[in-house]
Amino acid sequence: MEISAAAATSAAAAVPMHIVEGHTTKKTMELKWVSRRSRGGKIQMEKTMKMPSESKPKAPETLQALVPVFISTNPSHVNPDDLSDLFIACNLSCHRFPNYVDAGGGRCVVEAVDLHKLRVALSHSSVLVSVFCKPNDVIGCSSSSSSFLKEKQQQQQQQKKKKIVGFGELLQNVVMPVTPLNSQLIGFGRAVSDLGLTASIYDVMVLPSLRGMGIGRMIVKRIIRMLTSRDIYDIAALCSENERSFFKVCGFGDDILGSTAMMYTRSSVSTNPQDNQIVKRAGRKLLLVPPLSKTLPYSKTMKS
Amino acid sequence: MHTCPLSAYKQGECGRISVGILNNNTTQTEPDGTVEEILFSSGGDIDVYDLQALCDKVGWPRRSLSKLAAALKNSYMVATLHSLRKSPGSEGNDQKKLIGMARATSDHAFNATIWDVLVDPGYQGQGLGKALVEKLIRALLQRDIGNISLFADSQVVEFYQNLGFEPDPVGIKGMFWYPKY
Repeated sequence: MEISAAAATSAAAAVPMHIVEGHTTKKTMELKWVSRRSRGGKIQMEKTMKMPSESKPKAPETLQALVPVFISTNPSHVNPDDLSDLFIACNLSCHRFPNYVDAGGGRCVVEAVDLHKLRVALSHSSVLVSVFCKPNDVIGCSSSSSSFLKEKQQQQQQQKKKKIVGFGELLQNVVMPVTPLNSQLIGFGRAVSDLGLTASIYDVMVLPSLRGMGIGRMIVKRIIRMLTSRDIYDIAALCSENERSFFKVCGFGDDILGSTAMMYTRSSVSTNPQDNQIVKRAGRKLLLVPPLSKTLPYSKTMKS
Repeated sequence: MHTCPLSAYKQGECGRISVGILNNNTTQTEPDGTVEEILFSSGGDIDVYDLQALCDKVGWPRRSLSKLAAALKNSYMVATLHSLRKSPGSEGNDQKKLIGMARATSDHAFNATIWDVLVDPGYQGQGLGKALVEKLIRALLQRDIGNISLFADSQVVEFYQNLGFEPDPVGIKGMFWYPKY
C-alpha cells in the first residue's frame, strides 16, 4: 500500500479525479482516493471534516472531501455479514425477482439475503471486489444518512474535536491507513466465470450515500481487469432499468450480435390440480421444475 | 479418438453420470439390425475435439481448444447427448458420436447462465434441444438456483419462450463489455 504525498502538497491546483494508484501490478489491495466534484466541476484540495456534533451536514454541492477508500480483490476480505448489511443498505437482493416486504411508511424493502447461500455464492465466484472506507468518512460524506447507518456510526463516533487542517488529515490517513480491519464495507461486486470463454457480473453495489464518486466504476473496472488478465473478454451483465446507464458508462453496451437476454420464469402450465407439478421458490417467483418426459420423440428414420 | 479428460465427478454437485436407460433413452432399430440409442449424460463426459467438430457442423465460429476445455471444466453442469450405434456382427465396436450439448455456469446458489446449446443438424427438430435445456433447468432448480438466464440469438428466442423463458423480464437487459482501444 503506497500513498503518493505529491498529490497532497499541490494544495492550490485542481486535482484530477483518480489520483493515486498503487505501483505493484500483482496487488490484491490498493488505496485509492475518490472525491465528489464541486459545483463548478473543478475539484479543490481543501478538506472539510464533519464534526460529530453537527446536526446539519453541509449540502453535497459544497462538499469537496477527498476520501481514501481501500479496494480489495482478496476474497477473505469479504465478510458475509457485512455484505448482507450492505445489501440491505442498498435495498438489493440476490434474487432477480425479489420478495418485497412492507417496512412501514410506504417503503418496500427486499428480504434479507440467506447468509448460507451467500457464502456459497461467494465461494463460487471467480472475482470478488470489495471497497472499504473509514466510518468517519462515511459519516462525512452522508448528506442524508439512513437511520440504519446512523445507528452503526453512533457506536463508532469519537467525541474529540478535529481541526480543519487539510494536510494534517491526509497525514492521519498515512499513519492510520484504511484497511479492511478498521473500516466499513461500502462497495462490492462479483463475477462468475468459466475461466475459459465467458463471465457474468453480479451484485455491483455502493452505499447510497457514497455514490457519484466513481466507486462503482472503480469496482467494475477492477472486475474487468481481473477477467481480462485471465484472457476472458466475453463479459456480460444483466442490468435492471436503473443500472443500464451506469454500465454504459463502464463501457457496456447492447450485444453486438443482437442477442436477447432471457430468464426462466415459467410458474405453471397446467390448471389441473391433479398434475404433480414441482415448483421451486426464487424470490417472489414460484418456478416450475420441468417434468421428466417418458420417452423422447424419435421420428427420423436413419439411412443405413 | 482423442480424449481430453474432464472432471466427471465433482464433489457435492450433480456431476454423476446419468445414462438414462429407462426414460431418457430412445432406441431406433434399422432394417439391417443396427440399433441406435441416444444417451444423455450430465457428468461432463465430453471430448473437446468432438465438441469442436460439432460446433463446426452447426456453423459456429472456431474457438480455441484450450479455452473450450477450460470453459467445460469450470462449468457448473455440462449436459451431453451421444448417439450410440450398435451393429450386429461388430460386437464391441459401437459407434459413439456427440450429437448435442448444453452447459451452464453458476455461482451454485443464486445465478446461472446457460451457454452453448447445440444439437447436430441431423438430429434437430426432435425435441433433443428441449430435453437438454430442461435437464439443465431441472438440475439448477433442484439446487434452488433460481436466476436462470441465457442470451438468445434472434432466431431462437421463440424456442426458448416455448421452454418457459421470458425476454427482458422486468426490464432486465443483457449488456456486454466493449473494450475501448
